[in-house]
Amino acid sequence: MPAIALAANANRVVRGVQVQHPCGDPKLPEEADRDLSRRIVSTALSALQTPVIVPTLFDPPAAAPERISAS
Amino acid sequence: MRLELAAYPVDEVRFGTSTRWRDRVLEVDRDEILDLVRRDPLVARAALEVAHPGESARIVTIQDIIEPRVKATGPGVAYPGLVGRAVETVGSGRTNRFAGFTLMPCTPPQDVQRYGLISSFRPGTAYGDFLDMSGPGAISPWAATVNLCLLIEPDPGLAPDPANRVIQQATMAVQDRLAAATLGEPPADVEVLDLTPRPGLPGFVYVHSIVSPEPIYLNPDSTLSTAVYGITRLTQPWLLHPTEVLDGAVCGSFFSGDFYRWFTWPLTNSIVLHMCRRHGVDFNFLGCIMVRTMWEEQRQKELMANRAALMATTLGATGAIVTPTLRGQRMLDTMAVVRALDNAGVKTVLITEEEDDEDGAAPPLLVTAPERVGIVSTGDGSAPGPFSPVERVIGAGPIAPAWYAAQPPPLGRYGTSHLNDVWGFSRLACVDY
Amino acid sequence: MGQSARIAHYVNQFFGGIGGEEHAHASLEVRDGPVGPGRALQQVLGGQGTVVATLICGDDYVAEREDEAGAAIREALERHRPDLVLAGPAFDSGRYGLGCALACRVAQSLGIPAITGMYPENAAVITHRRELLAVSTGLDVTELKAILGRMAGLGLRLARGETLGSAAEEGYIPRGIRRLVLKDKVGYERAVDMLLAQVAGRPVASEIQVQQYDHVPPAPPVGDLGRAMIGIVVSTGIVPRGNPDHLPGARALSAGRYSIDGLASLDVAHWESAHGGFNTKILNTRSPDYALPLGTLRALEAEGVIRGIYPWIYSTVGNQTAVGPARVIGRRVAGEFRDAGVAAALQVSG
Repeated sequence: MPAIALAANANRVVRGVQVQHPCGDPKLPEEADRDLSRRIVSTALSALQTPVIVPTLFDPPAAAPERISAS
Repeated sequence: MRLELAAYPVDEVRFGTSTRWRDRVLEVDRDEILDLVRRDPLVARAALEVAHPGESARIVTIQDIIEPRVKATGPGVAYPGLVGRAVETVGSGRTNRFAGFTLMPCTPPQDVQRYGLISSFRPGTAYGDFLDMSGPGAISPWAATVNLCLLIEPDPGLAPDPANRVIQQATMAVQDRLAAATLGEPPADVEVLDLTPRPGLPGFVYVHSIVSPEPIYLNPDSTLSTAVYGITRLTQPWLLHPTEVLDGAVCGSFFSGDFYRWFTWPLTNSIVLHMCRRHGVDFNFLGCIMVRTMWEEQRQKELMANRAALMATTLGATGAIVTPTLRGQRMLDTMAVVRALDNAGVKTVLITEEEDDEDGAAPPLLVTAPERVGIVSTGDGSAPGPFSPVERVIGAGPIAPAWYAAQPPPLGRYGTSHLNDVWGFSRLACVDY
Repeated sequence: MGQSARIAHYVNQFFGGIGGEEHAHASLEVRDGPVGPGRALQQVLGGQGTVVATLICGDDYVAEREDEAGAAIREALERHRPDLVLAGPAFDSGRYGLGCALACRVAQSLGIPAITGMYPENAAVITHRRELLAVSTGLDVTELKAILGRMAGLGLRLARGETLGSAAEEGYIPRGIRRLVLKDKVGYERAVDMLLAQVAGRPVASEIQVQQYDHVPPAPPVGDLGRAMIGIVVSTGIVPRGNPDHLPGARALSAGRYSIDGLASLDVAHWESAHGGFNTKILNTRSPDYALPLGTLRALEAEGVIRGIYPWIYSTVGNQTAVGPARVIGRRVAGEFRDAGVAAALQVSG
C-alpha cells in the first residue's frame, strides 16, 4: 500500500503487487513470476541509488529493465 | 421515496404465555421463540435473557444488535436479502418498528486458531467488548434500550462462516416473529419520511465504508461482514435510497477475527435516520452510497472512490458525509473516497474516530485528509468509565468471573474501541488541550 | 490564595528598553519591578498580582547561547521565587518566541507555572508545541494590552492551582494533546451542521487538525551497489515456522531477529507469516518469499549486482502497530545495520 508508506514520509517507496503477495504474483507462470519479483527488487535497488528530496514512489517497469550495472 | 415509520415503543419485556405487544410492554413466549431457534439442527444451545436500562447488568459476547422491524405495507421484507430472504427493493410503504428495544444475538468467542485465523482470545479472561446497562460506564445507546439477548451456540464443529450463518438465520426468525406482534395493533406514532427533493436546497449524500470479508476469508459469499441485500462481495459501490437503509437493506456485523463489531443498529437508527428527518429543511437527502472496502491494491481503491464520487455528482450532490469502518489499511479506501469527492467539488465532512496520540508521537489519522474537508471526531476509542462491578452478566457460553468485577476503562489504541462509533451516534469526541 | 501573586515577566532587549537589533546579543539582565510592557501588565493585574521582577534577554543571546541563557534564567527565578512567569508576548517574532519558550520551560522545570503569548505559526510553537502554554495572538502589536490581560487571567488561575479547559475554550494554542470530552450534540448531528456551514461558505472549525508524521532527511544514495551489503527488515510478519517468539498478529511491540545465513530462499516448511491483518494463505502455502524476496536477492548477489545480504533479518507485524514501538524497532535495526556496515536496508510491508 504505497499510500501509507508515503503518508508516513518514507522517502523511497516501491510499489508492490498486492497485500497478500507484495513481491510477486502466484497467478503468473513461474518464469513470469520470477521475472516480476526481479523487476520489483531491481526497482528497489535502483531507488537506493537515486537521490531524492521528498517521499518518492518508484513504479517497477512493465518490461524488464536493463541489467543494473554492478559498479 | 416515501416511508412511514410506525413506532411501537417498548419500555419493558416480560416473559409470558404469548408473544404480543400492548401498552408499551412486549410480552415474549420464551418457549415459542426458542422452539423456532431450535428447529435448526445446527443450533447446539439457545436461551433468552432480557436486560433493562438501569439494571446492574453487563452484556458480553454480542454478535449483533438489531431493532426488530416488519413491513406493514409496501414491497419487500425488513432486512432483505440476508440468509436467503426476499430481495425486492424496500424503503416504501410502512414499516413497524419496536422503538427503544433491540434484539441482541450473542454467541461465545471461538478458538479461531484452529481455522488458521489469528486470534488474541484467551479463554477464561474477560476479553472483548462489553455493554453496561447502568452506572457511569453506561454510555452506549443500548444502555437506554430494552435488550432481548438471544444466547445462541451453533454446533461447535462449524467453522466461523457457517456458524455465523446459523446465528443470522436464528436472528431473522426471531426478529420476524417478534415484529409480527405489531401487525394489526395501532402504533404509538407514525413518522412520515418523504424524501421528495424540495427546490432550492443543496443535495447531500451519505457515503459509508463497509469491509468485505471476501479477501480475508476467501469466500465471496461470506456472512462475516455487513451485507447489502445479503451480498458481502467485494464489488464496486452500491447506490441506495436512504429509506432502503432504514428498512435494513444494509445489515450484519463484522467478525474481526476475535469478536463482532460494527452492528446493524447504527445503520437503521443513527445517521441515516437523522438525515432523513432533516431532509427538506436545509438540504435534500439524495442517497446513500455504500463503498465496499478491502481492495488490496492502491489503484483499485482509487477506482472505487472515483465511482462513488461519480454516483454522488450524478445525483446532483453538493455535499457529502463520509464514514469509515476500519482505520488501518481500510482507512486508505475511505480517504480515497474523501479525496475523490473533494476533487469533484463536493463539500465533504468525514466522521471518524482518531488514533491514540501516544503523547504526541502519533498523528490523529493514519493518512491525512485534504485541508478543505471538515472532520468530526468521535473520540479515540477509549471510554472514561468507570465501569463498576455488576450483579449480573449476560452472555453466551461460560462467563468468565472477571466480567462481574470492575472493568478497566478501555484505552483507544490503533483499532481498539469501546463503542466502535464510526457513525457519530455518541457525544464522545476528542478536543485539543 | 488571598494575597497578590508574585510574577516574573520575561521580555527581550527591545521591550526591555535596552535597545534594538544592535543589542540582541545582550545577556540576561534582571530588574526589580515591571519594565516596558510590564507596566501595562501590572495595570491589568491590579491587586491580584505584582510584577516583582523583569527578566530581559537579547534575542540572539538566547538563540546562540541557549544553555547559558537558560542557566541565567534559572538562577534568577530561584532567587526571586515567583508564583508565576509570564513571557512576552512574542507575536510572530521567531527569536523572541524562542526566548519566551526558554523562559517558560525553565520555569516549568522549577515547578513554576508559565504562560506566554504567540502567533500560532511562530517557529517556537512548532518546535515546542507540546510544552508551551501560549495565548493565541494575531499579528497586531497594538493589541498588546488585551493579550497581556488574557495571559494574566490564565496565569493567575494556573497559579491558584486551577486546571484549564480545552484550547478552544480558553484561547490558547493547541499543544497536540487530545483529550476525550462529551459534546452537547452527537457526532452525526455535528457533521450535518458542519456540512451545512461549509456549503453556505461559513467558516468551519474542523475537530481534527491535519497533522503529519515527522519528516526524515533522505539518506544519500548508495554510491557503489556492487560493494553494498543489503539488510532486510519486514513488517509482513515473516517468522520461523511455529513462531518461536510468539510475534502477535496485531499491535506488536517488538521485532524478531532471525538468521538467513546460507539460505537460498524461504520455504513454507521452515517459515510462515504471523500477520493478522490480511490472509496469509499464499505466504504460508506457496512461498514466504512473496513477502521477503530472498530468492531474488540471492540471484542478484550471485550476479554481483550487490555484494551481499546481511545474515540477520528483522521481522515484525505491521498491523495496528503503534508509532512509539515502531520507532524503537526502527532505531534498533538501524543501529545494528549501521554498526555492521550495511549500506542500505530493504523493507517489505503489506
